Amino acid sequence: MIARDDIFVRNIAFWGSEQQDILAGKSVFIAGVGALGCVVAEILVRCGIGRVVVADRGVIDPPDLNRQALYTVGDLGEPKAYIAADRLNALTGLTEVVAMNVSIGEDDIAGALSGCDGVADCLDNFPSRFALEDALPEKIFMVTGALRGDYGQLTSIIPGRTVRLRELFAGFGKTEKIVPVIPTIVFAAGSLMAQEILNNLLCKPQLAGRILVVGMAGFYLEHVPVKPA
Amino acid sequence: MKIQAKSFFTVLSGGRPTIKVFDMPEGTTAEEVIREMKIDMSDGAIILINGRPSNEKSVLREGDDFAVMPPVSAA
Repeated sequence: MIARDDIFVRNIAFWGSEQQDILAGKSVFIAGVGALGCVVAEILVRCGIGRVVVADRGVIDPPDLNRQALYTVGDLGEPKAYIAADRLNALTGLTEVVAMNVSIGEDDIAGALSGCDGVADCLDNFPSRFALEDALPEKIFMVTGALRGDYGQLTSIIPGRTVRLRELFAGFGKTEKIVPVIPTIVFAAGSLMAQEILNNLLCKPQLAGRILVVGMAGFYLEHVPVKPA
Repeated sequence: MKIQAKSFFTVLSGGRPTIKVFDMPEGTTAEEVIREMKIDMSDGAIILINGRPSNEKSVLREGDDFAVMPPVSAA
């Protein structure tokens, strides 16, 4: 096996061995390994997170291939959770990757969540996001990201401290429309989500109480303050 | 009363947020400001008054910071 310090030499050169060791002891639950989930998961593995759980009951369809970075045409029809886990396992061999072929909101994920330090909400509809938030154990943070076109919104949800998704998106349901999403915002927003997960894991969240708005075409970034209702 | 209103819907089409100051009568609701801003609410909106989630019927007060954002959920 290749030495950990060889693979992460440039991480360690930036943030030091102590932070690399802290990340190696952390576990993150990634809800949804579609567009955002693939990017978040890959970055966390390359950062050296000790364990990631990838949860998704979907299969890989042709419309996924414009933006879901872990999949290829050879994967069509295969379960996302298992293919994502295979790809993630092949990156460094240093992260324990757990695949869960489950539907958030239908299957019980409480046990899996309780073993994690944080959650990435990479789901694609409000009801599933609400179900994930409801299942969030106390003191476990969740970084949520959502997209439309080349526009994205991100925030950190910390139970008892920040606004809840149910407050922000009260009354919104599932849309049957095909929502436009282009690859540039997926990689940008996924990268920002991964950074905020690192920030939370190191107890320095930047988006607790703020929504980060990202617009790609105009290179637009802004923090919008938000409080519990 | 003066209300500063900011819409992020214009960022969806590659622009910057729209910021306007309206002089509105007492008792003005969020819905009325949204109408003045000519925002397409067919898919709904996140409505924030002084950073707190609110709804279309919420009544605004002098000096309130009012923001509307598109409710996006895809990934």
